[in-house]
Amino acid sequence: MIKQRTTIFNPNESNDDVVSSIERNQVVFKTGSADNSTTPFIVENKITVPLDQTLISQYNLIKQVRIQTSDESVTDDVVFTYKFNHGTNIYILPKNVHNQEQQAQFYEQVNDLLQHLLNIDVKSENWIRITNSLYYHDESPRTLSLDWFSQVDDLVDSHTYDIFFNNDDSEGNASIVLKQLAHLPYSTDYTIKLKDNIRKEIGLFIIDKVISSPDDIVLSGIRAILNKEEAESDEEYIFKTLFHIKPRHRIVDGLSDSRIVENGLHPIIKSTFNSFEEKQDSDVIECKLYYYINLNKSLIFDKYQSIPVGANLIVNNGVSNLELPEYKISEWGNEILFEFDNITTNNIEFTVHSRYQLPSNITNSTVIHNSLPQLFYACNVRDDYLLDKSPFDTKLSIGGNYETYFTGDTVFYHIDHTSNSSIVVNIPNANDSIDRISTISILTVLFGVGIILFQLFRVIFRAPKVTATRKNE
Amino acid sequence: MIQPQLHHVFALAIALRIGFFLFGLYQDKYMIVKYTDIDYVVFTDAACYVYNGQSPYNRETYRYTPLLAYILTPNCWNDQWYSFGKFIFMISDLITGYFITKLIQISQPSISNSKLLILSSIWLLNPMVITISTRGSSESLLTVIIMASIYFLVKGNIIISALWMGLAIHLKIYPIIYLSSIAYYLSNKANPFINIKLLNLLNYKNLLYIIISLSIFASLNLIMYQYYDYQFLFETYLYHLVRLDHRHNFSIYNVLLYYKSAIPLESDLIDIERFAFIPQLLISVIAIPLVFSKSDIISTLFLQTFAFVTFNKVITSQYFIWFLIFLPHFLLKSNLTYKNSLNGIFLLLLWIVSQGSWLYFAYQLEFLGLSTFDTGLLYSSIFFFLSNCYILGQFIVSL
Repeated sequence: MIKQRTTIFNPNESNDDVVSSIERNQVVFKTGSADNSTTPFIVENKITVPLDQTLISQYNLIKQVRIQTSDESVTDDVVFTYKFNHGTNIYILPKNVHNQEQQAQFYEQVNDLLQHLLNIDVKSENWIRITNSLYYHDESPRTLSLDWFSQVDDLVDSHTYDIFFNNDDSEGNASIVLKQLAHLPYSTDYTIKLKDNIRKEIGLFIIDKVISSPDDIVLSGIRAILNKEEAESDEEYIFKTLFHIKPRHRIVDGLSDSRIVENGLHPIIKSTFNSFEEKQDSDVIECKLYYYINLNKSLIFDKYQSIPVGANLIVNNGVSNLELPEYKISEWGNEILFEFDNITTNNIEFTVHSRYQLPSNITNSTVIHNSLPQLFYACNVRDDYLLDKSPFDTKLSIGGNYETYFTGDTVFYHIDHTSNSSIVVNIPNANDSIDRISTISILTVLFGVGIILFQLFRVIFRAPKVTATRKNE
Repeated sequence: MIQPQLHHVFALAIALRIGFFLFGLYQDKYMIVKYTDIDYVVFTDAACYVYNGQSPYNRETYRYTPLLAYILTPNCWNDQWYSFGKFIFMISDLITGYFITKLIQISQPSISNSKLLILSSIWLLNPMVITISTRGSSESLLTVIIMASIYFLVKGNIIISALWMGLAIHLKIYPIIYLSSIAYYLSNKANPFINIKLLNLLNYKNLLYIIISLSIFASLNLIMYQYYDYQFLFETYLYHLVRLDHRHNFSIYNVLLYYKSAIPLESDLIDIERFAFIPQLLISVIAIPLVFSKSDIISTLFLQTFAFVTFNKVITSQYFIWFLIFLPHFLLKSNLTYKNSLNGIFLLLLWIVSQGSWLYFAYQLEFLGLSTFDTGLLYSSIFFFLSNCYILGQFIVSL
């Protein structure tokens, strides 16, 4: 049976008048006032679809795939906190791959799966190897094909989602889980109806600010279960609910601004952040500042030269070639993580180098859009066992960008970006035809050879020098 | 008034190198743009890999013999030893100057003091030379070995000369072009084995020279191959044949190779990488040695190297050092210094202006991000190339 969990977070003060009607066969919410006096609601849909035998065998060499896409359109979210990189992040893990033939089949299956879900073509050589999986990143968020979730009517239009395709059927729980996040539009009725073969659990919550703290958020509200079987047995379907979550991702007050400092073929990526006190929630033990970025393959990261002042390079996965042009690089780029022991300024900057771009007949520069870096404090905390008890925890065995590199007891304090942050690099490229360049160059070489040979022949055939003795004779 | 002597030039040369080196330390510490050459960082990283029992090729872009990394392992002992390599390069650079001076004296024992000072200063007091070694470029290690080889060759000790030459070829493959000149130069220094046209060029001296130098080259390669396998061969030699990272440089082929690298391999366009060697080797390995090497070996080496660099697929400023070691001797023999000095000055200015024009457009690309490939860089590299060809032609007729 398909499971649907729809969680509506009301960031306002009260849930009064939000529920228009609640019955066994449908729930209707009124999500905000027409005069925009309320902060938009946030909805997270979590859909769990068991994998049928056809899919299990069709993708028999894939153990897990995780796709995380974000367009950063959901703001002011302290509950769900999808803090992965802007764009599309895909993680894959094979199973039962023991030889090259199986490896090729594995990549074919992955490509087929991604074509189906995202209409994206990722070749085997585009992936980079990271600690526990293969990783692909694209700066652009992708629209998800909802074919596999066609039975679910309540999905919203969103570019912020997290899919976990788990074909590890050893525990009999092979499934595909979609989580999507969106703001609900103002003043519309958001209706969720009972449907056959889908168990729907719907929740509406506000933060109980009186007893909440950043490390212990108390959500109160109601839950409703829409399930035909349970309805027939006349079970209770509405529950007043109050529960605690210990969020793994928290947001600090300051903002960071990231941009490119133009410097010809050696652009500088600079992030400036407000001065702020390190977050000291009551559960925090120890923190360090980190900087995570996915770097487009057009930009060369030189691990010997490009490390920011005061930073240690913790992770540099991906392209290691420091010279080749962009069109000779197969991998999508680099995943980089810096750690700062003691940072004394509010700037983090490092120089990268532009790779040569394909010559073009149309333009003399190529524009590269790079996803923004993630700037955060990572902290060890007390009572860390509560972190993954949160129903909204994002940490899984693969994926999560930087999350992969931290242990389960880590909490992240994010410094969000200003809205006008961007990393856009203009790289000059050639803008002519190879025929013209070739003709000019070859003719020049021939002309140069002619000049030299002419002078050599002059020397060979010139009259021998007359010596003084001979002259006298 | 004190008449300047050669030892004054050497003293000044040492002082200048120390001064540049100390300024480099200051610049590295306090300025954004570092004085130390990126190559020195690469050598040092590679040396540290070796020091820790690993392959120097673990360091991306290390494209030299492992021998260089071995020589520089003291760089990794501790921070105080970091500049050890620079000292080696500076000392090599000074010894190169010593060989240049000795060779001038051998070529013209009656040379006047002032002329000797001027010619030796072309190397010893040349800011470009001093900058290159004090920034940590390894070219002077090569130049001292080549000049040692030539010194012993001119002195008649061909075995020692061939040993040095074999080592030079191992360090960087290009000195192999000198073998044709040296073999031809030695062809009338002993009786031929056979008195048949062309074959009579072969005698025990040039045969021995070639055998020894190539044996040293092959032996060192074999040793390195034992330790570092194909990676050594690829990174040290083969990479230079197949490289696709043609970032802008002075070469006439540069812009074309950029375009060429961007088209599919199966394209039916002329394979310029393969044909570029033909004019280069025709002029530098065959034509110039045939015309000049019997009469003046060192000037021949100068012309050969100048031609080789002019026609190379990649040219950076450091390559100019390759022929600069022979320039003082060439000027001694050429009429451009005295009889035809105006032409000499014109040629120097032409070289500087044509190089400057390329640097102007390279600066616009490199630091301003302007696309100058198709006009500025292309035409200035043509200007520089044709200037070099014209200059080489004038050098040829000036001997």
